[in-house]
Amino acid sequence: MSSETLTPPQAPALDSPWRRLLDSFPVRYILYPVGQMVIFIAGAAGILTLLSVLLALLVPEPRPNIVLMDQIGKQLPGMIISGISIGFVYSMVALGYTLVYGVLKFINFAHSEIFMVGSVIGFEVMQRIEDVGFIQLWHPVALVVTIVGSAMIISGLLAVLIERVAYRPLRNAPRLVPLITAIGISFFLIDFVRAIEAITRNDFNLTYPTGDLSYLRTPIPMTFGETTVNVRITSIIIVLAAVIMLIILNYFVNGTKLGRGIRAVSQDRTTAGLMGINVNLMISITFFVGGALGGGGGRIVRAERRHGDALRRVHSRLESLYSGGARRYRQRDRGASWRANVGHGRVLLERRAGLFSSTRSALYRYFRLLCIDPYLDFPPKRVAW
Amino acid sequence: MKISRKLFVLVLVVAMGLMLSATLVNAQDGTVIRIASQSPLSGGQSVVGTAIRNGTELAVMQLAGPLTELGYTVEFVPYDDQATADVGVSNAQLIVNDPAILAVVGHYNSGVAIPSSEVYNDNDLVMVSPANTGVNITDRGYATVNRICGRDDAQGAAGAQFAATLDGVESVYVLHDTTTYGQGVADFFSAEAEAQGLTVLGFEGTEETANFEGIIQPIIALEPDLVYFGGIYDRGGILISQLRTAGYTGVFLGPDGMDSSEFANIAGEAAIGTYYTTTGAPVTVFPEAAQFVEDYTAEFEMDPQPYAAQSYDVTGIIITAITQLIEENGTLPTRAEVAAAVRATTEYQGITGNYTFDDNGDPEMASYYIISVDSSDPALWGSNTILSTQMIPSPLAAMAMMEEMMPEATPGS
Amino acid sequence: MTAQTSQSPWTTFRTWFSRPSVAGVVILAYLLIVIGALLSLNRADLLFPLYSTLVFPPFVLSPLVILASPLDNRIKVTLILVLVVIAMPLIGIYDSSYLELTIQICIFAGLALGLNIVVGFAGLLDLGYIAFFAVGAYSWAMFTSSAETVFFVSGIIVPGWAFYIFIFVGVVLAALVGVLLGLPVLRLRGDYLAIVTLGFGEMIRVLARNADQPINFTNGSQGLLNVGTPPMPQFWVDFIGSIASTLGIRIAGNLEPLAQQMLFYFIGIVILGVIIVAARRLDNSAIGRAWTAIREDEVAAIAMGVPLVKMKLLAFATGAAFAGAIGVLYAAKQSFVSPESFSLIQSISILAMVIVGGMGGIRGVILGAIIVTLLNLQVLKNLSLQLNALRNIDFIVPLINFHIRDWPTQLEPAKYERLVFGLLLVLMMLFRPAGLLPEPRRKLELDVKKRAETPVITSSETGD
Repeated sequence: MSSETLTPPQAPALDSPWRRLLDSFPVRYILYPVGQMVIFIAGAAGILTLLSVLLALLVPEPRPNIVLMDQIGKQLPGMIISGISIGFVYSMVALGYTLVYGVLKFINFAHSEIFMVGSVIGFEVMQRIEDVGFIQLWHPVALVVTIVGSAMIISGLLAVLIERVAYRPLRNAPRLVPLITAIGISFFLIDFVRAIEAITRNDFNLTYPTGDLSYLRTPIPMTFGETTVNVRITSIIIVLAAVIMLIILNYFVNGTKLGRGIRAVSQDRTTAGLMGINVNLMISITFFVGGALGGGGGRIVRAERRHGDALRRVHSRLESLYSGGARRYRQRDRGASWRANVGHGRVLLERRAGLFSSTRSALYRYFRLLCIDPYLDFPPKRVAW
Repeated sequence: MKISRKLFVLVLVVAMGLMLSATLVNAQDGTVIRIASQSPLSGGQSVVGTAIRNGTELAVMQLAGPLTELGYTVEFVPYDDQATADVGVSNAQLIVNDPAILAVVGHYNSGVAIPSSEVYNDNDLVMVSPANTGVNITDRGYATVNRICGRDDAQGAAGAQFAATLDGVESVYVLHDTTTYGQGVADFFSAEAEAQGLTVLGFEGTEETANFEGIIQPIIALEPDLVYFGGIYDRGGILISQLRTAGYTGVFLGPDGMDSSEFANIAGEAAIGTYYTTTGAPVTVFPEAAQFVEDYTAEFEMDPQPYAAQSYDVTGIIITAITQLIEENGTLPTRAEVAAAVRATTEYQGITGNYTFDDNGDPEMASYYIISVDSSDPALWGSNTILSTQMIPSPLAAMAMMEEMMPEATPGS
Repeated sequence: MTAQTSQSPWTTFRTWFSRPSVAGVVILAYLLIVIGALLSLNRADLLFPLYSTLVFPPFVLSPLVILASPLDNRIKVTLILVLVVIAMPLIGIYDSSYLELTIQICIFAGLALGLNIVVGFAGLLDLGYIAFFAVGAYSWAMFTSSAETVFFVSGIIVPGWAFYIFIFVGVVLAALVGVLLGLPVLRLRGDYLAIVTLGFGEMIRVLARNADQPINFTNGSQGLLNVGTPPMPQFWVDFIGSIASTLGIRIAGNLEPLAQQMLFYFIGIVILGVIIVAARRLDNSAIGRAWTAIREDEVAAIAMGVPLVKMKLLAFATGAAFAGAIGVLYAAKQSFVSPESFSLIQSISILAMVIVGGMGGIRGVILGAIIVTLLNLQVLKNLSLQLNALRNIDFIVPLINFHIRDWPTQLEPAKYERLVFGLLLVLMMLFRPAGLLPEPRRKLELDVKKRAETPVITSSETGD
């Protein structure tokens, strides 16, 4: 049962053309995961629609002159689209958690701060480009790639540094100990970034300009029946970038030699070390990849919100912690990082539908945590990606 | 045990050394008067909060002359309330326990000012606010709580009356940030809007800070002609920019919480064409404030934000009151005396107007402005167009005026 | 660390000091100097914030210093009683800001001791501990606040004397909530437990924020103001006043705020005393040993017949109960309660107290609470005030010729409490994971290197 994660299932007896097609690169690493993702999104959207229609049938006229059915037609498309774009961001962040958790079995509380650092670095890089005056000359795609790329690299390196300084010396300590340093690091990073911004800009709470990039602001109108929804370019960038990152990550973990090393370390650190795998290197790589995903996600989502504030990340930590938690335990087999996108459904349901607003949202969160408890208590014997 | 003993001796030796050095310094006997400010110096509302702090500091530097001549040192102590009531109250506890502090300038948020002023009031410490418009600030009738700005009942109503005069505005959607201030002003707005014959399509509170998508979709589906946001610029700016990207084309109106160049900075292009009501006009309106703007810019290397000049005047009022007391009595006044003297202020000629407090601590006359945002450039915030200016007396002053005019028809009889 | 260079002057000093007579003289001198220094400070002084930062911590730490000294137990108790009942109130009359700080220390020390039961004794990492504090605070605030809650509107307002009853109500309510949290998380360990408790803490906060609709219980994010205070008899006010006038201390304004604070100080000291006694008794009881067993090895504990469910629930309930009592005091003292008072950072800072001082030990946890609270409320704030005072007079640092005015206002120490906390947590975990005053058993567990040479710990050394 556990061997199939290590070696890709290659059964010579079943070596039919059909099987070969299934195992071919585009199918395994692109079609299969993307297909899974589409199914999840469609499913989540479907459930949401169903619930709203049900509600509308139950409560025909909540306020005078407002017919719920009409409202659903008007509001739902926009809700679903914004839910998808946010869901992708969360999934990128949650993947960082999952990666680190899978290898070290510990919750990297500092991950949300890496998310924050990624957004700050992206803005700073962009500011530099703007200062030099190149921003109008650069091709939009090149610009986005440069900014997101630099954010990813630097936050990846930061994650590696954090691991080296704060987690590695404590790898054999009781489990509480690295958890507490992680909290410490996350607090430290928040104020450290603020201090740097305070010194360099004398501004404690930055509102980052997006530069004069009108092509990033012009929305694309999409029509659903009678309703027109303005889809932001940034939302499309988010989805595209997330899909690309997820495809690369899936290939990296499941298809490359390094990925196999990481999986080996996650299963049994000692044995992996005895087998000649450089455990420290693998862990560093894991942190790099996780940090890069978090940083990239951070940068992209800031592009949409236009607002960078070191403090705000605390919330995103909780959000993605929950969604990450929810996801982690559904990942049982190969390629299941795509299941992270179950989160879309959750995010969609919880944040968009307004079904669980206010008090109920708190209770709901609590009960959801309780519902995943059974999974929590029996961590999967093998870590599936 | 071994370690703890070692540690203990170490602590002991270090402590004794420090102790000695501290006692050796001869504490000179001076008379020090401190004026504290409380405003958000960190977080999303720090732009205006810092302006309140800086305005107060500038006033202490420039106006403390008479007190220095009398042999007193005037010091300024800024506190950061983080726009959070809990922090404001904790700071208030620290402030009231410093006997040298005789007055507080602040706050920015009514929701912070009200619980904090309970603490001040218990300790007879006077608070004068340059920016709190919430009605309950002064309506509690405390002897220690004053303000020099307008009130939300007048401001919300002025906003609604303005909305009714706009062409094609028949329906409004009212959103607020659930704070004392935001909800309060939104309440007054929607009440007056209904009185003016506008349809209020929705009245909703949200604690969202960054992503208003879930709120925007229903708003757009209801197609209001005007969206009113009772809240502060750090959320209002994001709200309007997200509203516009989502395709909203109607009018956007906000209270004085929108009054900060940061609104333009956050909202960008979306800020252009929005309206806000305020009780503190841009400093460019006041001819006497020219010198202040110059000094402020030179001292802090930034343009004065709204309420900086008002804070300057508040501090002036406080310093004048304390100076009078010392000249009369010759001794350092108690907090209760300072509070009474501040309340008795009549016709204080400040750089932003002429202030007289009524019995509740409201200024007898307050100005209300309706301003439209012309540019997305934060540097040009001060030159936004003032569409209308109204002088509205405070409720007590209005009542007194009524009595004067119609002595036979005394209200409440 | 190791005292292998045995004939060092350090060792000589230690043997010299361990003589009770010498220690007694040193301690007395220490107390006299600290108190004298504290009373000689002048607020008008330019460097007052700095001096007060230097002088006050040694004073607050003096009970711990006394405890650590080789004096006779009776003398120790007498000295501490004198400090708590006479010296501190006098200093409080002289300058009430110290009273305020001491009350805060009492509050946080109580909380840290409660968390210590859950984390230190039973080894269950609770990141949502502040929720129980919130339960206590809200239970008193809801019934006395003048905000327009359902209780206020319907006239169910509890009189001030009920405060003393509500301390017990807070204890019971918080313990119930503790059991409520404990039940579902019984099977969880380590980081899973941390996430669930973290979620629970957030949940209580969000609940408090949203329980203003449809029925207004908590007044939502606007908070409950004008929370009731315990009644203050007139003789108490007069008593404080007469002491002040006998000492010749002029009190500007009315006496009531001071008398009120003094009352809170004594209530805080009593609650803290009860908590300390309870924690010590629990630690040395069968229950405490069961907790230790669970902490060290759950499976082995079950095998040895420890009733796991009962003991875990008891740990949650006891820790919560302490927080509940403290919460009632906090609400009355602060006179204002809002959801923001109970955020994650509060939970973390209480955890930091437990960790800095030393998990599992009572003395260590109190030390941690003193350090972190002072850092947060006094040291960082005072350094900011000091910077500001120097900025006011345009102070120029000699030698490097640096104008304090050029120091960015954004770089005030008070704004970087998170940075300090974070560093503190990381450094403590890296270099002294057992805390400043380690609990012996935990130290053994963490200090693998020393395991061979550390003598067997006798129970007499764990307590006092």
